[in-house]
Amino acid sequence: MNTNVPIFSSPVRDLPRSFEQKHLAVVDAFFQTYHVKPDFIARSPGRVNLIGEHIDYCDFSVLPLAIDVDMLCAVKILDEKNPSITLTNADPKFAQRKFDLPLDGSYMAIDPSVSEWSNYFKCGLHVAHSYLKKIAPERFNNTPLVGAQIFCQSDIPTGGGLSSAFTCAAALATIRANMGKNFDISKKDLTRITAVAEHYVGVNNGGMDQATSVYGEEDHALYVEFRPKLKATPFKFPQLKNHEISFVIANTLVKSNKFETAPTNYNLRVIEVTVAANALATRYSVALPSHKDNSNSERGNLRDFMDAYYARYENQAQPWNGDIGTGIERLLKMLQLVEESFSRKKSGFTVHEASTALNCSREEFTRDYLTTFPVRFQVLKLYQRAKHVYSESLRVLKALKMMTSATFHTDEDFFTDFGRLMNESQASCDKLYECSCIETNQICSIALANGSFGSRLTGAGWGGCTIHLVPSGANGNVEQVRKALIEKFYNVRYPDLTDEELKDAIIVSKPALGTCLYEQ
Amino acid sequence: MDYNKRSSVSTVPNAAPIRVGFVGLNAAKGWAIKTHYPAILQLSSQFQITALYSPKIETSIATIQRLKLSNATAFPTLESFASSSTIDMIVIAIQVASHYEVVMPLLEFSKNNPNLKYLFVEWALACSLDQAESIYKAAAERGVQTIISLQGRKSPYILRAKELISQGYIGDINSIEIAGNGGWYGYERPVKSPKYIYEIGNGVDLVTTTFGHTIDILQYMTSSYFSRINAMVFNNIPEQELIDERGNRLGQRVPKTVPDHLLFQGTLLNGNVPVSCSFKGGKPTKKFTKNLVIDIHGTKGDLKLEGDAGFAEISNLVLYYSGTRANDFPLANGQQAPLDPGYDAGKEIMEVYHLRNYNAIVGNIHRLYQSISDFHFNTKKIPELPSQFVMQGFDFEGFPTLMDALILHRLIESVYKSNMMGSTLNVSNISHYSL
Repeated sequence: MNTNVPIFSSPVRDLPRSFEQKHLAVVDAFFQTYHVKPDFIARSPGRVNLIGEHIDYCDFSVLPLAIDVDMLCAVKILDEKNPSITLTNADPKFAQRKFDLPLDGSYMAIDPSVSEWSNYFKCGLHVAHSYLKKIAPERFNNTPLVGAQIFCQSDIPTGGGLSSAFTCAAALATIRANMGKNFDISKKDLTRITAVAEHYVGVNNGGMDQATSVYGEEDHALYVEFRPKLKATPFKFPQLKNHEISFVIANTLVKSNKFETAPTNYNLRVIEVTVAANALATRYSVALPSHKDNSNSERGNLRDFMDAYYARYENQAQPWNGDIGTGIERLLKMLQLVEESFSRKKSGFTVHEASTALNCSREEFTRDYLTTFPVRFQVLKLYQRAKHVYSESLRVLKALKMMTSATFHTDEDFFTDFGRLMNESQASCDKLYECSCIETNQICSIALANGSFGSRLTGAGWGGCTIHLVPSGANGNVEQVRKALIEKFYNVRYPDLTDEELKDAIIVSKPALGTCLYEQ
Repeated sequence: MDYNKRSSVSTVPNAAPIRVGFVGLNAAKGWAIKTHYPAILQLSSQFQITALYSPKIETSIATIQRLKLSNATAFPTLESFASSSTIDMIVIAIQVASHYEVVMPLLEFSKNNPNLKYLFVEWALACSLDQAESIYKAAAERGVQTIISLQGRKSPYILRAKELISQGYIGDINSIEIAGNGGWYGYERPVKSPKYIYEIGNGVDLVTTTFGHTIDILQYMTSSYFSRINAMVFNNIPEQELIDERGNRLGQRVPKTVPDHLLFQGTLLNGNVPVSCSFKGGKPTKKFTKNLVIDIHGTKGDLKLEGDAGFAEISNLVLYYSGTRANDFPLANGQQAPLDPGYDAGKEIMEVYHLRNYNAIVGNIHRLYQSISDFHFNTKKIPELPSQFVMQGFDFEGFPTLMDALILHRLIESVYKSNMMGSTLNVSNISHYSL
């Protein structure tokens, strides 16, 4: 596996599939806007998560894949004394933006109180700038970054990793523009710096999106691990006898803007799982480590609790190393402990009850857990969230085990077995993590009734995209699933959709290549 | 939170940027270089610095060179600066003590500039109510849109609190308490601190600035002026000890005539709500308490705003909300109400709103400039938007004007008057006087 972000250049050869048609269009659009040709294009794909939702920020592994839709940033470098960035979006709903770069080499200010599309570019620019200051401090500590004209074009649906792909492409574009053609950045570095990019707009996320976008490989799913070190391992799908494996990605068209709903959804879940980890640690008298390097884990997480528990009670001083058999055993134990600790409070914990469970005052609890990101809630549902995280992590290991060692008597065995895990994941997301919505559930029901073997939400949820495991090829069900979704969901829920919109709402995809550069 | 969404229309206008002339921008020191300049830098498509004035032209020339203001000209006299047609907006960022003597002739000279549309003055407007009223009249006669930097109104926490109150999340307000710490007015004075801020009459003190910004924020959040007030002002620390940068005493005592304590009580016009407020000077005690607390109690919930210093307008606050509100389901745009919303209408909702990376010193001024730009370019496509408006009052949109400043100055004048007379004053007409 190549460890560096790949670079392609003309003449056109071996381009990733999804890029072949689009790069010409974005160059044309760039020329129409700025009347010059771009120097390069930074590309980052969207992603779907096969299984393993909302466990990455607890440092559990996930099984995503990059898909055939992407964010393209075409860039023309400007060598000016007063450098500025001009951003144009192919979608006219997102207005052009222009801002100057600080002349003294300080960081661009990002206002986290405003929901604004160019802020995601600024996040990518910020983390790239931070990286450049580390690798070349004499050059970047006191002088500005170079200016640029940038055209941004994307067909990634909301919920399909759009914001993460944008920050990855923006970071890569910034590094390429400032370090020149011959500089190679490793996938590991790009993933590491972009994993925290969205924190600068107040969105707390875990890094899985960025890892998938960067590490994606054609025809492979990725097994993304966060501990002990961030690592993405491609796994080829099993070779089946009479079918191919395809994924139908159906967009609910419910737009859950991560920034605006974070206080009741995403940010709140992060706090709930953190509080759950600390409540378990208090109950079983173990100390959770504090990871200062990663602001997601300042107060420990559910994986930390698992490791601490096994160190104290099972004499396993070494943290879990990712081994499948050991992991399954430990996760089953964790689920047992969650039942023992939280099942009497399935209706949720008030602030008073949560602080009591942590042996601290309400004021300490509020200061330590609630002021990191905006949040809004009635009760903290520690039982449901902890159970989801551990059981979902268990399903990921079972899925990986299935992909690596199982043999199937018939193709249907694979589809049935893998599909069951996906369906269990959807049930857990809906009932325990409460990140589904009516539209997601409707789409899953319709797909399952018409040929999908596994259907679930993908991405953060609360709208966005769904993913469906469907046999393709001569005997496949892809077209059947598509038609059923159109007739029973889209025509009912969104009767005014145009054919173009329908085409964009349902994507049939195989795994795609990750982030790359295309030199003009 | 609709009010914090950026306009969906372009803020890269097809028209030319607003050309800004500064009185008081110095690259080496001062408030403008820390706040106004970085704010404008983030809005470079909408604002461009084209002129600088300082009594010593060398200061302006050095600033232009250091900041690389390639479009800016240094002017030797106030008259030539004010007369220049290269300026659309003038920003006054100098000591309050000089406001009157600079702004009055500037407005007169500016009659030679047909392009002047905006006058932006730092709070406080001037040293006294009389001066503030004179400036207000002169600006109104000159015919410019005015802005006062009561930038706390643009804080995302204040806007969120205002939103929660206006949408009924705390029901009707029944009481309010404020406690704050005003910083420089205690037993010690840094030797580098400018002398004028410790002398009464220069327009900068615990009442005009610390109390002024905070009480304006309170009125704005609650959408109410006061009906009655009672205040006591103290100068219990008439001498201060000088200290160096490391906090060591220099053995020298200097006089202080500005107040170090304020006790303020009042009732809001809306709902006859009692408000109690105390401010004190001195070194903040970070270990034991917050140095700014605003508590707003309602029939259905409570709001608390906390800050590390008594300057709400430049602090990264934390907003806490706790309360009940029926039929409150968080919905994504266009989403139908879920069958099982997961919210129990009878249970208490808790919200904690804090943005860890928000730089309030620059951010609130930046959002003020953004509002000016939105107004100038009509980025929200408001039909028949007037070219000028008199005051923001309690609107979410727009920006505070000299009329808003004048109303606040009247309240502050009443604080001193109440202290002197030792009586409760009726201030319910404070926003009604015509000039």
